[in-house]
Amino acid sequence: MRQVFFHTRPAHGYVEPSVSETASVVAEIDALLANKEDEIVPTMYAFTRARGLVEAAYGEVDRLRVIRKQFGVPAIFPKPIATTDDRGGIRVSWRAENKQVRANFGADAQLRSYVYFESPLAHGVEPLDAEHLAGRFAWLTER
Amino acid sequence: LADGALGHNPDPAAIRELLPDDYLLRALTKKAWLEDLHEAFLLRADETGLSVCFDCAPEECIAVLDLRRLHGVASLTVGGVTGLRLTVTADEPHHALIEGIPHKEEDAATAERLASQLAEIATIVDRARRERPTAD
Repeated sequence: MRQVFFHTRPAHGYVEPSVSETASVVAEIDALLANKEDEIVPTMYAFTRARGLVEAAYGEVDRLRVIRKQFGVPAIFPKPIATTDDRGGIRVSWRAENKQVRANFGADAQLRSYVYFESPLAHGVEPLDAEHLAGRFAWLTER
Repeated sequence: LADGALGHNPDPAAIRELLPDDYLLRALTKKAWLEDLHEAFLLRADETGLSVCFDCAPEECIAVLDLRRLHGVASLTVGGVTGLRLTVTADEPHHALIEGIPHKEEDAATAERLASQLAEIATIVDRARRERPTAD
């Protein structure tokens, strides 16, 4: 069954439309590289992976939105929060009501990268790639 | 140590026993943690436990924890922490460690879940940015 990307109830912490969403998440990640206060500057490995993979996953969200707009469904997506870990890895999290998705980009290839998801009913870890991240975006915003 | 017990007090004369209703204060050293509180409950690579202070006011945490800057303080009870089968060990008169949390490199699912659960039982009690004056 195809999962769709939408949330029908606008609320604080949500942004729209999709162009600003992508710009927003990219700006959050870029700000980390600009020596954001309190944050360790991320490694280029983590930065490159985070930027590329999150953009790819948002691209998948946009692709499905085209399909959705055919049915006139409004598009809203949770605003992300980006931070770094103590080794220069990047963490980006999204929250929608009682669900959360966190992408952990390890500082280098030897450190773990994963997608963590959580709801009142389930939680777990999945491999971090565009497919899994986009899938969790669908899960995050499904009704 | 993840047995839900209170840790052994190394010097009972100087460090009092912690009780389930006692409040622990966790310093929020990143501004982003005010919005994403679970991030405050993930272990750093060089940590064996989460540093917390007790028997002190939020504005005293920066000195007790020897921090340069913080953006707020979250409060949680000892009983809430041990209820998650974690251990709270007081090692100084105003300092304790929450132990039993795995590093995300070792067990990401458990580390993330515990971070969420600790954030759920915690309340941000202070949102003031505080800095310690530099020596010079």
